[in-house]
Amino acid sequence: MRSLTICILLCSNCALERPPTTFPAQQLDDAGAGDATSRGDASFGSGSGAGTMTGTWLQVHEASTCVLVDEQVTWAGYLMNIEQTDRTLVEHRQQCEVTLSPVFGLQVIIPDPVLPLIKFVEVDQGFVSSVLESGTYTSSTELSLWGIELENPLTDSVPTEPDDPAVVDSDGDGNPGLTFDIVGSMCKRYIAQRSIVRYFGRFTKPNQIDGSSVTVTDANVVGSSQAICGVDPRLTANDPLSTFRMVRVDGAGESIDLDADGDGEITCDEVRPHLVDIIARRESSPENCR
Amino acid sequence: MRHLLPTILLTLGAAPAYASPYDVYGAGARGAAMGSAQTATATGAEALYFNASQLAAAKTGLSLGVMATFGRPQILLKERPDGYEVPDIGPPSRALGDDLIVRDREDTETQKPLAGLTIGVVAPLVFKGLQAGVLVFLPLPEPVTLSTRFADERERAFSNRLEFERLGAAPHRLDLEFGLAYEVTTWLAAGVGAAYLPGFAVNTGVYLADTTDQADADLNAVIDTENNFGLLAGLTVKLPADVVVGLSFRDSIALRVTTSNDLQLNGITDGEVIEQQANWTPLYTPARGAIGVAWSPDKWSFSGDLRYTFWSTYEDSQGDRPGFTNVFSGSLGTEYRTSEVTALRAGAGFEPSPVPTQDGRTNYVDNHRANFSFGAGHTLQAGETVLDIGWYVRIQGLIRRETSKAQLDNYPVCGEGVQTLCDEIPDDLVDPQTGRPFPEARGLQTGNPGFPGWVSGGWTGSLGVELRY
Repeated sequence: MRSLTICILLCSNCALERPPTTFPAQQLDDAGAGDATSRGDASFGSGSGAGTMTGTWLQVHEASTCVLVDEQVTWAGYLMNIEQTDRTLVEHRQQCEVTLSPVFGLQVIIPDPVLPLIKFVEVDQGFVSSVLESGTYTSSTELSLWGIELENPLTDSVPTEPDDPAVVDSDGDGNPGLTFDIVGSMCKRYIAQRSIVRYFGRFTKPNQIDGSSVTVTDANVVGSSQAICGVDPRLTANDPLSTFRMVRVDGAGESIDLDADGDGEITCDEVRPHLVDIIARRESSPENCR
Repeated sequence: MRHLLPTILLTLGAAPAYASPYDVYGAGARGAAMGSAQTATATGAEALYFNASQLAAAKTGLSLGVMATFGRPQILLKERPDGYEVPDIGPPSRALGDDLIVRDREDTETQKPLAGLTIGVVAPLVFKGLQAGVLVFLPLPEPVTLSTRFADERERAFSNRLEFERLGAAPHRLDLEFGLAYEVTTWLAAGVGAAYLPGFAVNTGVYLADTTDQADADLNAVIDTENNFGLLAGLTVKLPADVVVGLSFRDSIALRVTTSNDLQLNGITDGEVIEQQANWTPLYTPARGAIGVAWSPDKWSFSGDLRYTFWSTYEDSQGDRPGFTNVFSGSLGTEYRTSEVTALRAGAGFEPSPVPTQDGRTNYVDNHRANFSFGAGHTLQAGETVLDIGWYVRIQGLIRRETSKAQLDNYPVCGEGVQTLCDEIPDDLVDPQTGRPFPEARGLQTGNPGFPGWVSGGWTGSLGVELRY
């Protein structure tokens, strides 16, 4: 027993000490994020107004959709060139960014190269009652086709099968429709979709319009790289929670000028860093769909 | 369901073990006291563990033993330097942000104590010189942790600590061995037997009626079991001048659990199921060959063993082969009979670690081990009844080992096949909101619990008593 006691006492003194690390701390220089700058001192929406909507506008649309009992928030930024004649508006749209919130833990991402492949079809014109504050604005119908070509874009059914001739490989990746990525995985979803949106708002500032939207989306999954990405749950518009804001960004009417390089043309690269300043993104919440 | 699989395995006595309890603490009071140098001199049912052929000359009867462990093995983690934190940047990143982890990274300074009951039986069979034996180790009823682990940064989402690969909960499991031996001639005996472990295949069906409420699930399971046997074989050769040579082989044996989940999500899976699969190896004991020599002049007995263990085939609990090294280990033992009824015993041994330097992605913790032991045996006789009592104390030192992760100019993104310390958030990961790379993703972000290194060591021991009738 004495030997056992000696052994235990000896070993008790073998306690380790924590050695220091030789790994150096990591210090990184400022990444210089947000190096796109605007010209002039104006802020979004400020200024006296140009007396017409003709010019370049930036629009951010936050659309709420219910997927089963979960909410999906689609946050999209558009560059708009508007020509106003009397009170009618011819609007040309270019989509600069689309972000979809996760649903059931899966987040679909629309790769940047896909955005120019979304086809906007001119259906009609918008109109504006007045460009002064409190003036009302109704947009033209925004009709976009994603991975499909329809003879009658407004009325034809959106195809459901990948071998339907109306389904086109818009992005040329060898898969039907447009290919979306699933964030955090190698999974891909192939989409055929038609979206129809109209915006209704009013001038809250001389260079800013705020309002709501009505959206009808017909989206069909026509394939996927893995089964889990191919799930095709029913989508329901949640228009009461869908909003938009558009601001003039070409410097006219003392507005902000986002032509950062001064080449006379405002591009998506120039406006993209500023989209979150138009409407801050909000988190989706299942409570909005119960 | 979350409790079903552990319950099944606990019922069968299995634990996340990478070694037999006999590998760590010795088998039988005499064997444990003599440093496990028993390949040529085992005398009871423990011969099944050391050399099955020695069952042929083993004393017949029943043995009962109890044992318990103590000690303080330690793993102390080095302080993390600043600047390597994993930020929470949401779904674009697969990495778990530092603010979202369930358990803090911490040292390992406790060892679950083990107590167990050993039962051995040696019995003659129909032919002269033919004997059979059974050896069972039963952990006494106590909570047993069943767990698998990741050896790299993925473990941060679970225990977020390191464990000894061949200690800790390792010996907390049932050990069942049986066999028979035949004395071919007066100088040659041969034996063969098997070690047994169960295996499981579990299929779980899961139905989520509300995919936003994943705590509410309907579950069913189908469980299949399988039997796994590992070959035990041995030879004993008696030479002149009281010299005995023993040769033994123990094949590898594993407890594997194959699990699959079939998920049905209401409104989503639409007539199909989502399959999840895992192939675990909670227990793997590699093959081992041994040669032993014993010399027994007069009242003394001296023995020595040399073992070669095939650790290169080792599978960790996730079923991966980490590329350990085959190693030689050895031990020496002695016994001195002070009288007709009393013998004093002592032994020592050394086992190098099969685990290579862990300066990359993985964190297998292991140490060289040196052990020494002592004990005694006493024979009591009442009429025609003879009772042997043996006891032992065995101390095992874990020789201090310091590990530091290697610094690189560039760290690869973590993924399959990456073996160096790796970056959990790619530098070029783009923020879908801004279209620009995340500034906080630059450089190395790692939550690897073994980063930037650790030191391991300490000691462990066991003591036991055995009665042989």
